[in-house]
Amino acid sequence: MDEERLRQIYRGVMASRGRRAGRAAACPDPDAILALVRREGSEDSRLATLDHVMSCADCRPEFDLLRSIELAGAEAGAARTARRSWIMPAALAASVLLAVVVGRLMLPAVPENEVVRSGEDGRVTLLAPPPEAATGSPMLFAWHPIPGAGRYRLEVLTGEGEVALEAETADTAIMVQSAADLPPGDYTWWVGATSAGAAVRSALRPLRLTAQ
Amino acid sequence: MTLPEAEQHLSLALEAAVARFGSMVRQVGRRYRLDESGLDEVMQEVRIRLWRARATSEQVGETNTSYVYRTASSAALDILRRRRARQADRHDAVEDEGSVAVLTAPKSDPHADLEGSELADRVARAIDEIPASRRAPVRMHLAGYPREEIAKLMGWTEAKTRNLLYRGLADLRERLTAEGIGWDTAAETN
Repeated sequence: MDEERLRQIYRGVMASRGRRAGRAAACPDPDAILALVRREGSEDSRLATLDHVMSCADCRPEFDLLRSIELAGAEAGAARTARRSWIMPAALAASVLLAVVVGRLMLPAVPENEVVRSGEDGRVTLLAPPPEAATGSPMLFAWHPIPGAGRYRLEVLTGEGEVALEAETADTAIMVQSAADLPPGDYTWWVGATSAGAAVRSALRPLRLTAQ
Repeated sequence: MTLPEAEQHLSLALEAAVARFGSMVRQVGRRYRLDESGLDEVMQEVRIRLWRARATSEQVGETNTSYVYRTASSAALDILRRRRARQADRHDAVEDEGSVAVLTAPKSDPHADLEGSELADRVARAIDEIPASRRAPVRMHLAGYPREEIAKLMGWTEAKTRNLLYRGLADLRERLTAEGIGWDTAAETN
């Protein structure tokens, strides 16, 4: 017996369990499977759900479906797991803070007339990335906070005005992993928010991506 | 703009919003061996929900990924609940007509034969006896998920995941050996 043989046996046992027995009463509710993929609840309860899901031919496809949707949401910056993944590690948080500070120091002061106001209060002043950056790496986008803004929406547009990337966050900086996949070229980006019922947004800022 | 033109604009904008998120889920799903037939049903449900919730093509055009993601997540949950309810109904119907179920029962397949084998039973029992904290990662590992996915799902460090998996597999080997099932350590996966 080796691990590969063990895996074959395990896959066979799993495949046959669901087909023969019908849906077991012990199967966790879909909400519990969603809590597992979102890392919500105690570790013990998530372990118990995972233990069942990984031994149940009915629950596992449900887990794979919910997990794929959740991960796609996270990669788009829309799901909570995405925020956790880059906020939690202290070292990464420190590097984000450092990048924001460095970006702020390196960028020229933003003239007042660059900011577009469509609401009465506040404005969005962009901080990072600089106008030119190399492709192939996740990219940090940062801006000044707007008092009262609950969430910010970031969009990166292609030269043709198509949305190449978009993300939402409650924070004033976001590390966009999928920016690493953007091909070299000229882009623009902007950030919008809603504060006190009024829409506020930045001006479009150019972003040139060059090959590394 | 005429009504048919407006409807066409709405349809195109909606399709673009759904297609954008759908392709992201497919891209992720391919990494996780997702059965895409379930996803098609979810994205169709998302289309219907967006269509009902959004009044104009401008609004649909502004539909962001975050909104589509939340709609997809909620649609998936509803679809899974409906499927389970249908399965339960079918199961009840089969139980009510027990003799019919016996007559129409499918012939045994290789998987069923495998489960019925003594070896498969002993392996399944040995896994059940692993301490709870290590059992789930061992099952995930045996089901073919890489260690990084286990760590990401549970929010564990790589070291903790490796440790739990290593100890869980050691427990399993010990139990299998006690059952008289020899273990080939040379072929062990790190």
